[in-house]
Amino acid sequence: MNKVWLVLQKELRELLPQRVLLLTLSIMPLMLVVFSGFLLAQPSMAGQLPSAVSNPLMTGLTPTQIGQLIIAMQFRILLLIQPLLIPSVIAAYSVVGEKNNRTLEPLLAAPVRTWQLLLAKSLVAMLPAVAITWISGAIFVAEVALLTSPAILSTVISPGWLILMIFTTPVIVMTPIAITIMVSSRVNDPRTATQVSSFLFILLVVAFEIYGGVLVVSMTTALVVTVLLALLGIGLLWGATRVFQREVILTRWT
Amino acid sequence: MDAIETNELTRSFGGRTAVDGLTLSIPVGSVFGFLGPNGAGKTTTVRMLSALIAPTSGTARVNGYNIGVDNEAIRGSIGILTETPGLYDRLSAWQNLVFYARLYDVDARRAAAQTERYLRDLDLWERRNDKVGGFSKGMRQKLAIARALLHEPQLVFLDEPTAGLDPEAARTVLNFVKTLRREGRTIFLTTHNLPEADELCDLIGVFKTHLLRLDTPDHLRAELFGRGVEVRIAGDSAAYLAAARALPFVHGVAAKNGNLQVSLDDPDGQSPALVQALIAAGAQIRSVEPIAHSLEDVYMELVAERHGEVQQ
Repeated sequence: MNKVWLVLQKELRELLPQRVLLLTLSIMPLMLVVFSGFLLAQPSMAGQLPSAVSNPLMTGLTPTQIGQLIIAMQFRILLLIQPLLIPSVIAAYSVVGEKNNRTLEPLLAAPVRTWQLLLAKSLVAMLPAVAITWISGAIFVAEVALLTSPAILSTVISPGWLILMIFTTPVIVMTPIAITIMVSSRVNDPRTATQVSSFLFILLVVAFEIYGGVLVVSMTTALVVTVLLALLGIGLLWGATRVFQREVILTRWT
Repeated sequence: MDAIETNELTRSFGGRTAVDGLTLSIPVGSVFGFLGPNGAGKTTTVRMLSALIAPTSGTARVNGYNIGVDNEAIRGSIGILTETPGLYDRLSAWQNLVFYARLYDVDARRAAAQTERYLRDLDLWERRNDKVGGFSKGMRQKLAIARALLHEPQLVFLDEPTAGLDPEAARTVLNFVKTLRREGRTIFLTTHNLPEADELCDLIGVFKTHLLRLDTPDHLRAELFGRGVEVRIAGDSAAYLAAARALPFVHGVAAKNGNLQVSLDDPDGQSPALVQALIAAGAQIRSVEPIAHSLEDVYMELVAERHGEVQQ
């Protein structure tokens, strides 16, 4: 694990001074919370949303509160899936960027195992995504608490959602990272790697929209989803170490 | 004991053979010059020997470890300067070196000491905290050489260490390689700079997909061009051809540019008798010097020979 820590430190030293990159990655989550706050703060606007919604969650709520609830439910889901977009950029830079900058060969020539290298590179992609998501999640919770009623707050910020936000976020990002690394090992054009998670993001948005964006997640469901995603992520990361072959990386991209 | 031993080492990419049946032994403490044209398979060979890529067939032992079996041990026991320096531009010189020292299992305290030592040895100490992105090519190359030595490997691969450097930087690097040689390290040097190889190497391998010749630079010169002396004579040198040919130890003689070029087995021992014979024939001798063939002559002869074979 010592070498994982060494590589991770090196990656962070390279990543953290790149303020523009980090700012760019933070724009979407920030936009989400800014936009959700704006909508929640406009009761008249929220009230114009469909009022004929027959959902038990909305029983007893005023049209304005129904609007706020629908908005908050939509945004809480977007906040959960937006970390899918962040790590692929960093993972692609971390693996493919090393190749493009010709720093990969000396690194691969060092006595560091593939799994150590990939774990460190996965972590460096994961940490900013998780941090940005948690920060935007915290802002969102504050917005809902300040701008809506206690009834809406307890519905939107449910224990299930909190579990998803705190525990599922780190595991949901493992999937795009692993896939980015796998694709990086197999394609000649590294930019292809970054497209995968965008595709996953779109798939998930479509899936949630099909369910009307008002999914109610119980604690049990949230825990099961987290465990399943963790298993999927770990499996894919293991697969990435099998696919990431030093030789292929060195000879294919030269 | 040999630092590197290979036996019929071969590597193909698809249908193209990059390295074909390479068999060689490089003794510990020697400087081996691996010469060949671009695309000859030199980098592929270095990558196989540094356990970065696997051979298609054949075997090799590096520092006593078998490639394909003890890859991590090989990687930990060698130093390598890759074709391009491959340094992290956003990190300082100090951060780059300490990172690699630690990656090579050097403990934190020694990593700092080693980093300081090599930064000072290579005149980079004053720039230790500067980002490598602002370094010149020569400084990067020196830093990459330092990186290859932090863990004090006894076998070092240097792939084109002076390529693209200005003469001053190239001389600094060259002197540093000489220091490594004095320390008794084995050096596997890939270069296109033939005077540099001539100056540094104990052993030369001329390579173009397969090994064309492996020997010391002097033996290669003698084998390809023979030994001999050039005699500067006042007047018409061709008039003394017969006198030289009459000597039993003379293998060949030619008049060239007003001088006599005489092939001999033992120039030092046989020159006095040759001089006596020419004087006896009436020649006025101005000077006698050994015929010098550069490593470039050797290289061109071998590579051109191989080129001829391929064309046939």
